[in-house]
Amino acid sequence: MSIFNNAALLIGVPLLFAFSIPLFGLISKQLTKWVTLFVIGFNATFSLYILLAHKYPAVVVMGNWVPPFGENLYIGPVAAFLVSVISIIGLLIAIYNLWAIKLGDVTRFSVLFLMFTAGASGIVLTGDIFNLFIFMEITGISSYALAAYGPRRRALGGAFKFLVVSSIGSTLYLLGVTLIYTQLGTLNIAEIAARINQTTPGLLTFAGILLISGLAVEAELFPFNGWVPDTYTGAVSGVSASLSGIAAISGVYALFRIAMTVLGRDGAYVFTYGKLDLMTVIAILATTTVIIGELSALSQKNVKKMLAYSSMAQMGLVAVGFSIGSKLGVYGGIFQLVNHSIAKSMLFLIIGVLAAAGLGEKVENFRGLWRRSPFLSLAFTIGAFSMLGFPLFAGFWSKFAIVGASIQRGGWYDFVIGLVLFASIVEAFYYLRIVTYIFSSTEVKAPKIKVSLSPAIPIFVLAVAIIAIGVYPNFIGNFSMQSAGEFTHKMTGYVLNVIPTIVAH
Amino acid sequence: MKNETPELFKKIFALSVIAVLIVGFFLAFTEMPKGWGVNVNGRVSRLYVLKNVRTATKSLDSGKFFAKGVKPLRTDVAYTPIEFKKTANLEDGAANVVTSIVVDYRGFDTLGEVTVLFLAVSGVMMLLFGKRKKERKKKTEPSLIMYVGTRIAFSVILLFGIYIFVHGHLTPGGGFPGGAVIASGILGLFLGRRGYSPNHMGLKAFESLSGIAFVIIGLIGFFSVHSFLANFLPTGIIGDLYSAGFIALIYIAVGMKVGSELAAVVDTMITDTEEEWS
Amino acid sequence: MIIYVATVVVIAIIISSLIAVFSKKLLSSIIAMGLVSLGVSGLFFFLQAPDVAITEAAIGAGLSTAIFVIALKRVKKGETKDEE
Repeated sequence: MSIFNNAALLIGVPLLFAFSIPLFGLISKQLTKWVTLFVIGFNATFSLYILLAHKYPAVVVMGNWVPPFGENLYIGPVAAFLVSVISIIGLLIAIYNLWAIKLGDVTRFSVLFLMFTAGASGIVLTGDIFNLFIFMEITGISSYALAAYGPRRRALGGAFKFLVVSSIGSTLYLLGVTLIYTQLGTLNIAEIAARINQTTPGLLTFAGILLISGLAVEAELFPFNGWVPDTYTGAVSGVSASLSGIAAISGVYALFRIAMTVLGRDGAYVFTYGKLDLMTVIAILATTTVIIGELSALSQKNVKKMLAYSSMAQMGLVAVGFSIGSKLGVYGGIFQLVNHSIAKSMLFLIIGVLAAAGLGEKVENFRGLWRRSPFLSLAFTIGAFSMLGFPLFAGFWSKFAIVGASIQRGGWYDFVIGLVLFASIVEAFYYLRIVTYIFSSTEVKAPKIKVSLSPAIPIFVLAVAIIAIGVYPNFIGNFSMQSAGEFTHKMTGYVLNVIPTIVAH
Repeated sequence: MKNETPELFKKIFALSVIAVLIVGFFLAFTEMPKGWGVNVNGRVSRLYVLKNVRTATKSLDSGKFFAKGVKPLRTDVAYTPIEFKKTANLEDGAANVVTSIVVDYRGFDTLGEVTVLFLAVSGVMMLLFGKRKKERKKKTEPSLIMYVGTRIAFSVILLFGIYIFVHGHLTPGGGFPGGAVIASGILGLFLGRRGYSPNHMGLKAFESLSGIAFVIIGLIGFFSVHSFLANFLPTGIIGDLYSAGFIALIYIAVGMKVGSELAAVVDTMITDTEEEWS
Repeated sequence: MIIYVATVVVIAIIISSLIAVFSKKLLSSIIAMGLVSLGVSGLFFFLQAPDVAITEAAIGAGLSTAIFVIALKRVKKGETKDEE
């Protein structure tokens, strides 16, 4: 167990500045956005340093109590990689917010956005099942408030739906944590994972169902994702981008950390009833999510709502990848998760810029966009191609890996992957429809759209990232492969790195 | 948005969800192990869950704190009972065990909870943000007894709240209840006089500075003991006011923060504002 | 002895929670919810958790009830404005 306590600053510094932002707000409202930007920038730099200087795997001891007794953060390959992705996307959206957020209570918006990003990185970092709940609450509460920000009344409806569903989800999760605590007397993820066989089977099943259904709300799996379309459509575009780029990462991570590390047994699950185990259930839910998401997206005339449904479907695809359980499948899932956040947050940012320029959210409004703004059109096309997995774009490699893994696994996964491929064709249809609209030449004499610098930087960076990953996938793929190892080998990948002396029962 | 689900279907669905939960919890509680043994070992204390009541009681009676198969974490340190007002330099000298778990062992969670409250309050303030409306015509002024009574009660309530969070490591209570008690005193002031409004700048400064104080206490631990939120002060004799290290400091910060935040919520909710998106 | 007191408290909690759910007036629902919190804080005290009991009494029975009432007042104000 190597200890790297400096990483506590990844949580400590954002908290310190979040509490002091109201004081900065007394000086100037616009200053608070810059404070947020710099703090998230610090997080991005520091997490990139951890990732590139290979400081992981390491344990961060909180309050000077060594792991099973106090709380700890665990920086494994997954945490190092995902925290970097979260912080970088957060940094780019913070740059976008400099331009987009000007009205209303800017000070409080900055506080909420900062803690939203820090809370999402906390979910990924933490090594304690109750601390995970606290960070879920931090991310959740700030995202309800962020989703309700805006002059339009429709934001309130979506935010309220999100609040109700997500609070019920976190209550279920808390009940599950309580049940596990009564059995094992510990809250440390590593210790629970090692001693999970000591629990009573029936109680474990019930606790597992509670935990999974609580976490599936944030991960946007099928019966728990009714909030997605309204919330994404109603919120300001920057907020929709951060919901799909940041909250989705942490949600999927939390779901599969519990499902694979805590309740899992190196590729299988602890509780099984005949042929039905947790993995099968998640795979069925994920496939249903993909199909429902894609079919609903097809019938949408509103681009933002279409993107929301598409994001639901992509989350389902990620979950399919994870549920295969082999290293290749989990690799595909993580890779797809990162690609999706990059592409989807860029698409939402573009929608935000277009909405500010007076272009509506209807599909027809995109007609002849190429004449009005070549930059935005190209970026949108890149994002769309990446979403539908066109070769030489980022999304291709991850979808390829997921398909490969399920063919390798065989059995009824052939059926699953057939449905997923069918859904991909549907996806290609509605994305290409917008792209054809963009490049169709009409004689519209509309003025050109000027994009100011601060929204242009994030869009440009994300578009370049998509192309770069598509051309040279090894860099991100390498980190995804290491992360997949942490998920599939629970003892050597996670538990023994946190508590080296523990013996599995 | 129209809701077209039939009423009967909704009720059946809700009832079935509740039934599943109730049955699940019934099974869970019947299968739950009962009884436990406690071990306090030098630097490391631990709650062990034992499967059987009889084994647990037997091992407690015979002075062995472990059931068969469960080994003590440290055998080099002998178990010694703790005496109130005498034992010194414990691993965590708080007489109130709940406090020592909440603030010391799991202090990071408490920091998170404080942040959750802060974010909820920020969200409410952001939603209700706007121009303060002018005072409308005073309708019914509260009576003189209400006015004087709330002011007298406020001073007593304030003292009680401060007592609760300063003595958090000795007696039941702590930062959260103390802050809530203070905020309910301020609520009384609101009810006592129409048009009462607290000093907004002061509230904001209190709110920020107490939060900053919490994080800075954590950072002092980070720089002195090299672990975030570590207890860097001597723990003293159990039962003394000056004991248990930094617990009292943190609870003072938490109490001030919770009190000012809840007061700010009441203030934002009570004052009329007009939406502005100019 | 304490078991009888606790039983009475539990019955009171159940009755007031039923009132909170089935009452037509929102204000009486809110008051009933405050009563539930008060009873629960008493139960916490009987279960030897005075820490939780104090918190529940201060927040559940005191502040949150007040905040609910204020919110209800604001909502009603909005409703009358729309009718005008």
